[in-house]
Amino acid sequence: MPANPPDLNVLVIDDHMIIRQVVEQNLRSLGFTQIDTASNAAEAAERMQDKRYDIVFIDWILPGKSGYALMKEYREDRDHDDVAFVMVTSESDERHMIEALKAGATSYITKPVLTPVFAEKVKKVLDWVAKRAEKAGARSA
Amino acid sequence: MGDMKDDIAQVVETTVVETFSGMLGQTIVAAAGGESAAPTAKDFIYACLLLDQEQGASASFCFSFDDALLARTAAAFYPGPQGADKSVREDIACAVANIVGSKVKSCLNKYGNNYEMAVPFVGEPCCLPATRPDAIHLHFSCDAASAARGEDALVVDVALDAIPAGNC
Repeated sequence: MPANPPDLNVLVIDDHMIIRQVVEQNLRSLGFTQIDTASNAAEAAERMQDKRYDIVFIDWILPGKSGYALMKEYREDRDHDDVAFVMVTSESDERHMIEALKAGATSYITKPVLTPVFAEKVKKVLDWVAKRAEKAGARSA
Repeated sequence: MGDMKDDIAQVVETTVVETFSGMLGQTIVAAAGGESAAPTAKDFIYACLLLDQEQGASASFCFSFDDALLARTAAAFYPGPQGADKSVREDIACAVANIVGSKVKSCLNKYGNNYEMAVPFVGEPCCLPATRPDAIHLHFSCDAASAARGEDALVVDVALDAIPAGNC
């Protein structure tokens, strides 16, 4: 069974306010309620230190440290194994997509963010989150 | 060169329409008669961006947005005073430029080019690459009727400094 959106903490990282707003609106229409935002990697790192997120939507290019670099750092840290990282980026070529997935992205969404595509990808991410939670539960049992 | 310009025009048209209609909830249509350069009226907001390669070839873009289109978009996403803030409208302009520029970059790089894209910025009308004789001028209107009246909601000017390899 997929994870339940209202139970999940979500962080949306993008330097464009309008993209944060678009992603947030799409998430709310899918039932998510616990949504925080950040406009750069430093702000995102602060948020992630203060709170445990289940899904992080992250832009590739950010001012300062890139979203890609930030995601790689968290992926190398085993404490964040169960966090789903979703790249939401205007980098639409296959090379970037493969690079992101190899570096540990759970999913890859290209801008413009179109509601049906977004909903479909998030559905798969919810499955991923649920499976990770099951595994973690089995390990601790 | 002609084919490449046609291909770039196609990518820009498709992406602009998809971004406004599919993501931002604003109807926009590609308009014919794209020979003239972008308007330089006070109520336009200009977003500029550059794609360049190590070899020095570059493509410069200027997006001229009718402020009314951006204001409608902003109001739809930010009800209340925030929607009236100019920085919100500029953010939307740069976000759209960023998406369109990235799509063109991907299209050009598929054929062995190595374009990188700089971060779009809000500029002045003087950033227009419109005076170049080989520039591409793409006009968009809010609907067919305003297109017929020649009312621009957005004009995208593109100037290529060299012929990129391949077709998109």
